[in-house]
Amino acid sequence: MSEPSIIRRGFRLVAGYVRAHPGSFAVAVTGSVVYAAGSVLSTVALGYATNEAIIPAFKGESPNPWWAVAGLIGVAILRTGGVIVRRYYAGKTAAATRVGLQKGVARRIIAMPLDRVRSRPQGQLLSHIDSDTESAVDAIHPLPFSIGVVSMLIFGTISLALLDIPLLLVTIGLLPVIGVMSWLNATVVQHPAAIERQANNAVTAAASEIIDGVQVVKTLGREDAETKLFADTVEELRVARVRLGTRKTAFAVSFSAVPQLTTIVILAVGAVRVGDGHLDAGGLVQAVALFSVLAFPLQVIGFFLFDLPPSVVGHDRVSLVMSEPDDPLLHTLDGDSLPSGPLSAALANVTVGNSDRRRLSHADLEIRAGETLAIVGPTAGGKSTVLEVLARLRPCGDGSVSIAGTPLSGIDDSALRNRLTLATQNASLFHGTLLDNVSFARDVDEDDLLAALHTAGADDLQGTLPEGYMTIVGERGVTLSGGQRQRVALARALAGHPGMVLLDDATSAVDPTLEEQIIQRLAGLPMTVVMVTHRVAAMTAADRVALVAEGRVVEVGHHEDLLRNPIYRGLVDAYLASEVLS
Amino acid sequence: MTATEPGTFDIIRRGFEISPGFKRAAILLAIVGVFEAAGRAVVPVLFQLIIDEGLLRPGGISTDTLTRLLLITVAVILFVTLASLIAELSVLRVAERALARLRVLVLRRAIDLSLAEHADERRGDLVSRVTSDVDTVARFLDWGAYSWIVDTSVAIGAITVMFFYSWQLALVVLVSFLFMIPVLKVLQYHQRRGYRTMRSRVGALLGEVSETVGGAEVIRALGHGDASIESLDVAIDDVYQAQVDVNRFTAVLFTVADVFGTVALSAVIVITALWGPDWDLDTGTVIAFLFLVQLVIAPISELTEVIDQTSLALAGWGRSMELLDRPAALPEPDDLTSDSMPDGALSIDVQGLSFAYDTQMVLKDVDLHIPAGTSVAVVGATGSGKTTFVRLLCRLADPTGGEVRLGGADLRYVTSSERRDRVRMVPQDGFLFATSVRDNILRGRDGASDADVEVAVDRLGLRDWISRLPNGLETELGPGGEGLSVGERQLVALIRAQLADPGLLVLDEATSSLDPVTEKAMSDALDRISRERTTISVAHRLSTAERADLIVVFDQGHVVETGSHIDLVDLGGRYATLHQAWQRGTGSDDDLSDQP
Repeated sequence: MSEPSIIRRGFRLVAGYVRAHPGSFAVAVTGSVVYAAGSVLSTVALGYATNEAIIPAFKGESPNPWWAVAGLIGVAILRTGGVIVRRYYAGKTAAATRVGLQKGVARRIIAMPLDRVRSRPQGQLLSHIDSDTESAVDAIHPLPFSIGVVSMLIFGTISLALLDIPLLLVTIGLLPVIGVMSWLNATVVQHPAAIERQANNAVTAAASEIIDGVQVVKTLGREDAETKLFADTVEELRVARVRLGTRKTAFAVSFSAVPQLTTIVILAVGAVRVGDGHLDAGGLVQAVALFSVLAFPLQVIGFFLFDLPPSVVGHDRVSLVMSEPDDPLLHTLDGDSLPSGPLSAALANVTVGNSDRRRLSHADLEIRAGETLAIVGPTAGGKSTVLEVLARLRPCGDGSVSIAGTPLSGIDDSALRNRLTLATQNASLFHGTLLDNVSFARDVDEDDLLAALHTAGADDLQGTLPEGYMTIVGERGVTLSGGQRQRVALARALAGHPGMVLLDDATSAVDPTLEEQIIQRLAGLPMTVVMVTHRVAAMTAADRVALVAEGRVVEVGHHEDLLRNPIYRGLVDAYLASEVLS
Repeated sequence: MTATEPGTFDIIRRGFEISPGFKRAAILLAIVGVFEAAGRAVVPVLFQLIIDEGLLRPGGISTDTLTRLLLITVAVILFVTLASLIAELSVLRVAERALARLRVLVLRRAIDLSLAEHADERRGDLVSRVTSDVDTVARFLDWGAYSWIVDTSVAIGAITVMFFYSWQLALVVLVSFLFMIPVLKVLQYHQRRGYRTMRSRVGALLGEVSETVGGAEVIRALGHGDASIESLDVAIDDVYQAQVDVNRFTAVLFTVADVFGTVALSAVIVITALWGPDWDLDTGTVIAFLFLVQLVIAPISELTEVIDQTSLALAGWGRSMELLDRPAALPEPDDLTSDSMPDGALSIDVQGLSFAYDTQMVLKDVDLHIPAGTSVAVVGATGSGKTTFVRLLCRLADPTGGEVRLGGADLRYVTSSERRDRVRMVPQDGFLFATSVRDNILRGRDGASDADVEVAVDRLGLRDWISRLPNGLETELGPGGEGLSVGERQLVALIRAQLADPGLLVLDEATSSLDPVTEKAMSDALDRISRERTTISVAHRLSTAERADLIVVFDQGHVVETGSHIDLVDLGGRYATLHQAWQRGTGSDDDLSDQP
């Protein structure tokens, strides 16, 4: 069985959490101990009330209820204070632990190799940072109470020992039964609970697939067939839930019976002891109350054991991200700087990818300072990879890349990012104002921002957007069209006088007339422009065109000259034919 | 959709109507509650009996009496335990069957909704109604439902027993607990507000993470990493703060019942001490009260824990059922009224065709005749009505005015099985199921064999193309067809359509540009598939329009031009303008004349 090992791992995990936040956890445990003491004392108060207030009242003596009431209220304050402190600080410990995990994941997303980010569906990273971190810390909540239970048992034992030894023996004999039952409960439902979670995920996946593909389902007339498939998945979930529920119910019902039967045993023994004169009525009240106080916390240990495995699983999932290595390409401190003005670049014998998927093989390319170079080629031929290698987003294998004569691998990261920029087709914008997106947390003065917006053909947005350049844009709540987003992303790349701009189909959604104007403006600026493009107009306007196919730079030259190349000619024809109509 | 939120009782009433199983389960649970109340009240009652039978008198209680009392009590507890076990297990079965049925019902209605309800911006909402909303009901069944019914019964049972013993003291206890209600309400209000803040901050964090992941490339390329970490940290800290804030109320809420229980206990003790004998009370009764008050505290504490979960579950239940109130899109014809389409290619006759989504007219009084076997390109700007037009040809919705006849038969009176065999659509996103390419094709016709798949592939000339896929026909796809480009998915969908050999094929072209290999395979396959049938393409490429026998131009819900490419260019109307815009954007006339 693998259960023992997962429980053990769970203990280690939780111990690590506690070490990270010892202060708030200690406060929570203290609250729990105070609660335990309060609970046991409240039974003493009940016994006292019985002896000093209730029984005298019916014996015609003059009862004094005020001390009893003061005691009851005093211990109630202790008890509820303990509960509030424990719950608040347990929650705080869990939340603080979760923050640690979330920030760790956030840092990994920024620092891990770009390939590793792209290899994951976005939803997966979202659930790592949300639901997985949540379940990873879930086991913290019941832990302080579980620890407090130990002190409660100690207090309870002392209290019973002071009261009556035979009653103590009966109780101590019976408590382990409840402890074992609660432990059994946790282990017996573990496996069915895991199966239920799986079945539930399957139902969610099946439902989303059918709704995403509803048009196909309808046109294929598969409504009944898909409903049937879905009903089968739901049936599996139902069976899993009934199995889990049956076990839980059986235990819950026995749980409610065992303490009651035990209480009756205590009452029986207690009644005999009262009859013998060894115990008074208040003592018996106290013993019965004490047992009901002790029975519930023992179940709490079961809750903790039950929460442990999902926490381990959640933490394992978070670890998938945490164990990602740093991107070696980000590690350049105190490196070389770059000259001002337009930059030249050179790729020599660059090979990217493995034997499964070769992106570039032995590619060579010279880029002249100040030129506009169009990169053209079939899909998956390596065009974007050329840009990624230049931007140091991918390693260049055995070959070498240099910018303005300096080896790329030796250039300081901040120098490189200031002097060489990138804009891509999907134009990711971030929440914040349009202007924030263009300055992008860099030190660029406002005139430069406005100039960049103008070059990118985005200056109309000042007038057309509700708040002009101060309009909030971003991935969600978007008001921008695809073409508008691309123009803002282009302005972002142009801001701050870079020496080289890399454009990966960065104006594909921009109106063709405007696109032509933008390309002309770019040619007039003192910077090198390297652009991957599908638009024939852009190829015509470029100083030179590089044809990239099957991972190599096949030919470099002017558009007119390249038309003699059959691959290039074929591509140009295909692009013209497939240009979008509406 | 109704303007006002349905109330709790409306949701429960409607829920019981749709799922009678839940109602039966609730009744059974109430019975469990009576058993549980009886089982738990038995200890205080026993205590009272032992005392009143003489425990406190000199010599104590007689052994016979004590044994008799104990045996009766044990018997009661065993009976009650067994009975509630049996009842609870049947509750579980009944409720789970009802839940499973609800899931399937809701999904089926989601499928049957009109396509307007399946618009992109509503898809997420629809999926969450079918999945997470029903899941909140499931979670409620795990815990909350039991708490509400059983805990309430136990609390009521305990108070009833109190009244049986002494109505005065019972009233004192009841009044003490009544003061608790406003306190609970205030705390709960703050808790709910806190949760709302937390949910919105979690949403903001997730938005931020998805921006960071989606923009990972730009973040690196522009050296924005540190700034991104900074703003992610702020979002994470915001969630933490909201969580800690809401935690304050959750922590306090749980203790409220205990505090008021202590007030009740104190009141009972003081009153007993001061006026006990005058009120005809006795020791046993008062001691029983001490324990009965505890029986009220525990269920109420438990209820404070499930209040939040309950409002989530009610909202989720309401939202999933609201889906069932929306009408299914298409009524099926019965045998008497059904109409049949001829074999072979289908002609299309459209008269006075109109369609409105909600109140917005997207097609206005369209008349069109297309002879059988024609290949047609439908052209127009976004929102011109072209996509709606072809959807009506597949009866993905019924027209709000006019009629569609295929091969002379009114589409509304053609059975769904005949329609699915004779009319096929290849949608724009080329959605495929998460299975192999072969299985996706096989779903094109009931009872199709592997050999039929091979024939269909060959008829479309896609053998070479298929062999380029990583694992040929056995290539496994992700959700929606992940692993293939949109164009490649459409090709698979085209083979699937070929398998059915329909009389009318409708193709909604992909808007993104295809790579040259796929482009070539696609145009060859389209040429072949359109030989023996009528084909309608929603054209986004000039090449598609040029190749068609007939071009139909839509503008603002009207058909404004019909004719061949040459005719329409000469006409100098809407199509000629589109065509010119294309030319301006891409190059000179010389480039165009080189096209085959």
